[in-house]
Amino acid sequence: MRAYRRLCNYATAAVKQETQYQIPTAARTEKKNPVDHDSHDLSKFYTIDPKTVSNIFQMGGMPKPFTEQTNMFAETALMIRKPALEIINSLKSTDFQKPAVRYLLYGQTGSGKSLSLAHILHYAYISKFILYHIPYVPIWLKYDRKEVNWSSSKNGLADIPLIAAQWLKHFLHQNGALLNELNLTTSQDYVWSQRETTPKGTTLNELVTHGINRAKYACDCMDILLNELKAHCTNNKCKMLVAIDGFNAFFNEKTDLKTEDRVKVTPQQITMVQTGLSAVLSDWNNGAIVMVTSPRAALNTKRESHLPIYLIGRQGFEHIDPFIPVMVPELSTVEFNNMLDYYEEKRWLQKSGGRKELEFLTSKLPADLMARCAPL
Amino acid sequence: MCGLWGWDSGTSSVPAGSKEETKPDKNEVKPQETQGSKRPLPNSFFQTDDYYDQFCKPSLYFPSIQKSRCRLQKLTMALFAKYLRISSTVKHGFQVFPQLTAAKYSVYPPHFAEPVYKKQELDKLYESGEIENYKLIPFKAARSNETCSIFHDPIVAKFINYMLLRGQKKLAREVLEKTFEKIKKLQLEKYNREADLEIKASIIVDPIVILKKAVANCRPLLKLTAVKRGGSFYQVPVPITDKESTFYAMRWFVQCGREKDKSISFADFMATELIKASNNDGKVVKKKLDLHKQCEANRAYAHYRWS
Repeated sequence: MRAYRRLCNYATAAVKQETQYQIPTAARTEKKNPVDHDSHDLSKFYTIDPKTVSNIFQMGGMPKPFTEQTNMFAETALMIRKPALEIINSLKSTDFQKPAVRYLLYGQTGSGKSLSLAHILHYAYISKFILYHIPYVPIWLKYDRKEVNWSSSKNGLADIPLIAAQWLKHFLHQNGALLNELNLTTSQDYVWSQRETTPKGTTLNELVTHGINRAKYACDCMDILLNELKAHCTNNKCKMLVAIDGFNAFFNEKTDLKTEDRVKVTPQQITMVQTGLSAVLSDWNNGAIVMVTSPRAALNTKRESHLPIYLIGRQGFEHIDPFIPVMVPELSTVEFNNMLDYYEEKRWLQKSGGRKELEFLTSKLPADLMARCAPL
Repeated sequence: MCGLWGWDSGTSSVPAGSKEETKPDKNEVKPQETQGSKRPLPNSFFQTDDYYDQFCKPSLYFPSIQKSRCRLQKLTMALFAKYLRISSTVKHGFQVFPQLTAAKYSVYPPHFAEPVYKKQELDKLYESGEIENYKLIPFKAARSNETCSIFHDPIVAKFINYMLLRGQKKLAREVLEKTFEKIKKLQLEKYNREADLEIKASIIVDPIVILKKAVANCRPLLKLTAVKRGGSFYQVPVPITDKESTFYAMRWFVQCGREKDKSISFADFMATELIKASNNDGKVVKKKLDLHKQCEANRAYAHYRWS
């Protein structure tokens, strides 16, 4: 009898689908403009429309797992969290005639620092700041096989021409439209070589395009661009937001890079790093500076603590000294539940129970939570 | 008594019948003969004190053992038994038919039952009153990979064990988790692309459901065994048990995963293969059909099974 039953059942024996539970929906806000976000929207999701995403983050700026997730979910939804909102609120109420204020986001690996920065960048983009955005510093400094040359203009410093050109492209992609609108021009002549000069009064767009086309001068171009922008900001012609992710990599002991004559270079010996460090100086006004330190950007021997003083050291601390530290904590209970609701809504998590277990396993770190939910 | 610490369950995972039986007053009315002597085995090993006294006392099997000197004696006994290489016999007691037991090297005597480690199943037993049947049966402790977590699935655990190479369970588990992630990615992309609501509802995203469906689709109905007749071996089609057919299906998946091209990762290959098999397609389903075909071709030998 058993055998008979088996013969009848099994080829078609579809596995019984478990009973459908009520799929929860995540709490979202309707306000798509980050300018409108206030404390009522805390721990809710808001969606960024795809066009803005491609304008700001096409060439970096969001962590890779998150980008994959957005592709899968067919939308870019960010959770509104307190640290980002805090900085946005203070950006709204800053007196821009005073020197630029420095904010430092810090927190454990996977606690959502980069996405908080993304939220701030979205705000800045909407409110017409020029973004001087370095997506992730360790990309410059890690992994060998990059072309590294000694700089011709600055003695003792090294250039990474192709990476600099890439960054200039990123800059142009983010700010091209705004630069055209503002019509900013150079304030002096720049002589690159005997034949190539950029005369006074050229638009910044052209300056950047020149840097992209002549990669040899890309690093110098970055530096000049920064100085020009600082001057324009001080003259009240534009606003600028300097955003640097993985800031502590500037103060690492070493890089993976070698010049052609096989000399190892330290981060401080690279022109782009010097430019980045000078961007962080608040000798200009009409803008703000947001830095992110993360243990992952540090060398793998120096990741025990996520506290900024450990990661950037005394030297770095003195460099950025008056700054406002903003801690990005792990998710609160409300945020955690909303996050899981979102994952269930998007079918990333299939089972509604077991939240306590997930809480214990991930210690409520959003990046861990996402990875942990992946096979469930 | 519970073999594992469950997340959501505060209660024990196994045979709960002991709750009423191990009352504190039991200890007070201890028989005098056991006074002063420590039990040779941890208490949780046996169901109840009664049970221990009835079946498992060393003195039952070795009347010469004096209880009061039990501990020291046991050590010397064990050493002696080891010297004589009869330690397993000593451990399990004398069995009537030692050859008939399946697990010769199990630490448990054969009459120990498999544990019920899921809280939900245990609740069901309590509700239906079936728990009465289990009260006096000794249970094995739950294994370290058996939890009452909602994310644990026995079929997945089995699949991981079949994938295992050289005891690298962590690696196997990680690979299967990657497979699940990949399945989910593929299915979610399909799911989000689909505009038709009906088709959308029919797309399964849950990787565990897909795995189960794929395995169910790949289970063969018959198998071939070699039977010697007249000096030569014949491949004879014979019926197959449920358990064995599941094993065949899972083993085919793993085999296909190992034979795959090197350019594609195991997880990626397995993900696509599982999705295909859940739609009754792909290499593994073909293996099943091939086996069926061969059974059909060898049907003339079928009577060798009994004649």
